[in-house]
Amino acid sequence: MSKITYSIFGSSLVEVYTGMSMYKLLLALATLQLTCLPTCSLNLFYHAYFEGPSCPAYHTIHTMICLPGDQIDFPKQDLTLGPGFLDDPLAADPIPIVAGEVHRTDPEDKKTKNQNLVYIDSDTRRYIPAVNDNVIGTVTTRHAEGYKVSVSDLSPGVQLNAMAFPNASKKNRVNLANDALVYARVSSASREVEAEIECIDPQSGKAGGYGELKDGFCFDAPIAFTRQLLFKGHTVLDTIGELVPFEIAIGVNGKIWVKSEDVPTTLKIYQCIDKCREWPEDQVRENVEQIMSAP
Amino acid sequence: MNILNNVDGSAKWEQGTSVICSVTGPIETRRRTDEPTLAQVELVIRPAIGQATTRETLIKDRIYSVLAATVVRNLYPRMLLQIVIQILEQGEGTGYNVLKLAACLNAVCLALIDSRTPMTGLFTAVAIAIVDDKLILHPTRKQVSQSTSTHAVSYFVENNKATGLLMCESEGEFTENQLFEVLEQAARACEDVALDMRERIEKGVKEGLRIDAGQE
Amino acid sequence: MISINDRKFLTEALKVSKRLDGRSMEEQRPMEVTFGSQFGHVELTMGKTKVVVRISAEITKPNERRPFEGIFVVHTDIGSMASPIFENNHQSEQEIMISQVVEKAVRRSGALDLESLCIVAGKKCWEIRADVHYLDFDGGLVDATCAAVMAGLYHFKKPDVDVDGGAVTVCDMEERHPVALSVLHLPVSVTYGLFELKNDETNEVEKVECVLDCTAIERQVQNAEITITINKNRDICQISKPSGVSIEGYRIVELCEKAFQEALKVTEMIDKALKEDEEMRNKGNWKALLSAENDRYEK
Repeated sequence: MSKITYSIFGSSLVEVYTGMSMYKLLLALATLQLTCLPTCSLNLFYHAYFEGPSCPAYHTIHTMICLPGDQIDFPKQDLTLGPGFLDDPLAADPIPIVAGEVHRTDPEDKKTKNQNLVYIDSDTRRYIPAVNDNVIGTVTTRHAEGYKVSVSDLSPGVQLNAMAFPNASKKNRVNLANDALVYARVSSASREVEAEIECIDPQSGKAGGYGELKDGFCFDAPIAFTRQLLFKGHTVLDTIGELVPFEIAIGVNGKIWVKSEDVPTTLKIYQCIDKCREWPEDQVRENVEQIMSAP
Repeated sequence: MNILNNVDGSAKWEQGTSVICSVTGPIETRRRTDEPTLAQVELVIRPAIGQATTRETLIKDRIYSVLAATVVRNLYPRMLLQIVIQILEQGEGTGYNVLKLAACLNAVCLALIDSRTPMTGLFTAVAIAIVDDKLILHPTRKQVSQSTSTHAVSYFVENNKATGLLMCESEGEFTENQLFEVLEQAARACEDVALDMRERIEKGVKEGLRIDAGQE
Repeated sequence: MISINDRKFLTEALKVSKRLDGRSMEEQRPMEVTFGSQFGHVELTMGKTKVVVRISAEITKPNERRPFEGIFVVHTDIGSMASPIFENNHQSEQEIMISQVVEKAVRRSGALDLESLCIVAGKKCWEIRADVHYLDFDGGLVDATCAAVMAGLYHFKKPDVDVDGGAVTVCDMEERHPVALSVLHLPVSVTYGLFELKNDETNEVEKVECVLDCTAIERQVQNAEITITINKNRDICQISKPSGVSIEGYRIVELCEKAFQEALKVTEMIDKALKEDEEMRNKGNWKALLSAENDRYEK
């Protein structure tokens, strides 16, 4: 068994043993998210709707907190509306319909294709599927064409087609048990029909980290926190990665899956990630070391 | 706000009475619906003592009418929005409804905001009692029982301005002029309540998105 | 809904005596009791579980078969506020189970002296009603309910009544000092989850682990549960173990002994909270001035 150290941006982050099933590391995923921006049509007369991740992590130039019904002082022309805004044909301006932080992208920014995008980043507790989100789901039922997967308790299930796996064919099907965990990407989401997820990376057509998650432990976390972990990273992960090798998959539906060589270590990692939200930045390292070195 | 763990949004409102409200949704529903393009709203009110009576049904009916005007229901068709209101302390004698109704509406609004349910604006409510021809805002238990009439008024608030009357529930004897004065004062009071709410919500939003630890 | 990964992980962790929240196998989550402004309003938190109890009294006609006794009812109705897994206006099997165990622990154990609730034999008596509201659910509902209802009964005071022949007048709470209920003992429920730990290779049951005070996620993995209700005098009020994996008799005796230790702690906690609340209310020592109780009723 050889050991590979992934290094991204020059710093070694997490070590993964080859031989185990490998999942893309969080930062790799974050960069992937940033580079494959969803396409978006811009309409000059009507506000175009944004189709993409439930909360994109772009560089934004304008942030403020808004409440439903507030007036937003933006130039209304060429605006692309992201999550959190309602374009009421009867009202003059689009109005915010949730409470959260308003973000607006820089029209000069090449990365966002010069869109004038506004969206509201808010801390929801129930996940609503949106295209390109990475999610962790539990298989609830199996049927002829595929599986029904639950991405959050009591929410409507999403479909996982049996063909939505790399190299899948009628004869070569991936077999998932009931209550198995899968890491997948939301491929289509609409309010009228069931959302669909797939275990293929659209860039390469390969597994790209998606697929069944075996063993390990999956727990719930606030959605805003999982987004932060996935897009921006967190010192807690770097610190744990320096101490022990572990695997992690983060679903922006508020689920985090971790796995390490033995159960007590995984438990400690869970405790670190679960508690780190209450720690100030400069104490993270100290606290992690304390938990990880406990008997 | 955000005081319960298992639901999507929750809030407690204490003003004479004590009311706690929880919101879950949008979730899957098993029931068939008559309106295939809208989300269903299920509202349950549980009194502090005893079973729900017609008094609770009345409050429920009033809250439904307010919700219909504020919640954007067409975003989640055929899904269920579950709202539970638990009254912890009634704060007024049996036979009165005014304090409870106002507190329930405010608690529901905060809980809906906390659950990030799409709404076109805030709604707030105040209780007013008329004692000896004088208007009293947020009356106490004693003032309610001495009053000649009680009014629970709810306004739609956009941009910190009360722009529309959503509900007015009056009981007792009063003149037309008194009612107009009640509505006028209630609008100002509702704006004040909305300002108070805004403060709480902004605090909640900051805490929820608190990204200070570990951020680059 | 729990995934196979989590199920396996939790049992593996139990094999090495580890729990998710870092507690040991026989560690109860600390309970905290606060009282509201009115008598018989109790809020109890135990970890993330949160329960509110309201005790109320009303004068009604006693049961014909028991004319010398008052009535005591406990209403446990779990709504979707506690957790969306519970449906409103519909009782699931789990809810019925909880209410039955609570009923046995609090009512059938004779904790409340029903004869003292009688006003006029066969005609009028007090009906004491305990409304239990579940605000948040993370396992341990029976234990929390039991402790909260008992704390409420100790805390509650009913208005004094004047009996003149057959006529009964209820005195105003402000005019005459209300009277406390006569509570005979304090039963404490302690719930253990039983987990079958299987051998990895042979898949045979190696050991049945008893874990105190399971959280919601642990409850989904457990194979059975056993509730023991016991008071500080070592009286066992009930042992309830509906279905599930079997357990040897001697281990139940062992569990009872451990449950007794827990009961002592809970009793102490409730006593302390009651005493603090009493001191708060008794500012200015007006109670001694108003007291009309005989010395022998001294608590």
